Amino acid sequence: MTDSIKEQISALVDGELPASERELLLRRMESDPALRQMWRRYQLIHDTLHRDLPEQVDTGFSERVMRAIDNEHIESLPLAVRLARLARPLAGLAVAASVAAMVIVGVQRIGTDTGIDTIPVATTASMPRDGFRQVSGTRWDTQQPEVQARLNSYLVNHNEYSAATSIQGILQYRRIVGYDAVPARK
Amino acid sequence: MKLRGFLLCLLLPMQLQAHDKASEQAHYWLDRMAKAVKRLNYEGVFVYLHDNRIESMQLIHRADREGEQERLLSLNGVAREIIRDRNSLICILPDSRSVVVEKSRSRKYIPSALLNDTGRLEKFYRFRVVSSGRIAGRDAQVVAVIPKDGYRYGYRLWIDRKTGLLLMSDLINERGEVVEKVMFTVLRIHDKIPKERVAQTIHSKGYRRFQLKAGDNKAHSRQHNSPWKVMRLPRGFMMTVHASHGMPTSKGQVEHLMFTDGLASVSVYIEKSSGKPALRGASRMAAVNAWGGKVNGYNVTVVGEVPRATVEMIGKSLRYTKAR
Repeated sequence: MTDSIKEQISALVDGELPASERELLLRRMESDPALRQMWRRYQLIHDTLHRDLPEQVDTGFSERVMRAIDNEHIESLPLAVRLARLARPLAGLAVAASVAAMVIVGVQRIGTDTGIDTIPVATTASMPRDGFRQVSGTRWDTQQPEVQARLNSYLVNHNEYSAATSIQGILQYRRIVGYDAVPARK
Repeated sequence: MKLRGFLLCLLLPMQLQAHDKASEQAHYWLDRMAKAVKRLNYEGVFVYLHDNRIESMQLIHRADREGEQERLLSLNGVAREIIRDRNSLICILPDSRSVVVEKSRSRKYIPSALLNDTGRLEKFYRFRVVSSGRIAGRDAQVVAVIPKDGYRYGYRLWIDRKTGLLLMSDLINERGEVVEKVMFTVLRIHDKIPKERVAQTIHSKGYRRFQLKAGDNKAHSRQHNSPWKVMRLPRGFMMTVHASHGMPTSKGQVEHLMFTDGLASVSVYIEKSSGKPALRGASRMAAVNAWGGKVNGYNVTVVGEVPRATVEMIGKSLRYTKAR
């Protein structure tokens, strides 16, 4: 295996491979198990190194990955889907789901057998019951510190006035105590 | 036909009874939880999951003849701390080197009749005992609070069978998605907790202190002479506060209106615009939504643990009418 192809795979994992080279590399990976193995290894390393979570995640990703697994016409599929398909020999659907789960980290989605039957549940068919979904935004989604401070002050005051109805007591203040614990970014 | 009618007559009351029983059981657990959270001495560590992050916090709660005292401390990142007793609520925020002191106003502002009127709540929520589970090594009863429209959130609560304490909760938004989760990983119940355990643990020397003078804390009723009126409210929301009071971070008096359906609540804050930046449109922090606008030279901000539609409806319908 040449160093140049290793570099190409590494660039692919980092999302830095030019589109012109991508097509050829994907075709080679699809026919070469050793290259696929290498891609998986690089992907794992990449994920371990980049534990910080993405700000924006495409929530339709896992669904598209899953749909794509059974799609024969892979040439026309988007890059992410084709990469997911390469992971197929490992465990098919489960891998696709976990590929998605690796990037879609967020809050659990409610299942269908919880008794909360009036709440619409729209999980994708093959999504695990406790599959993760991303909800965009953290803290107050306004950029001005002054506005944020004012909103916090209102919220603290509101919490105090509404303490009697809250079913959570001081747990309400979890949002003030932890609201901008932004993970360190590299 | 006769038989069918007869069977229906038999079945209908049974169904109603079953329905009432399920709801009754849920209310029993919720009532037990509300009391346990206030009366018991306990300490624990919980994780808080929201948006794409997970945080861990320590909670200590103490209750004696002097009332409740509690302390909440973040265990990740900046060590923020909140200490609350019957007089005050102190937020120590080392990252902004500030201490914010608010008056503790626990449980005085909502008429108890509204809280205890479960029949009223049944109009806007369904209450169900769903299943059982095990959290932090303790057996739990799972209770669901299901809203009947999109103007309030739903909750799934794991309540400790032995003590009634809340072990885990899911907050469910108007689209049926769990948007916040709180889960205790360790919870210990004690007969007594020494006072020192609820004292401030992080130092705040030299921090900027935001605190109102005793007199400015006082809320003055504005019910009868206010020009502000909310024209549209989601079904079931009633005004329980209409007052003006000072706030640690505001210069003048702030007019405050609060509405509740008995479970969810929303506050409207009205301040004379000072030209400083203020919220315009919608903003969100986890499950808390806010909406801001300018009406007649005043900044209007609506805040609450309710869906965006609720804060928007209330904010957009606020009118300045001639003072009576």
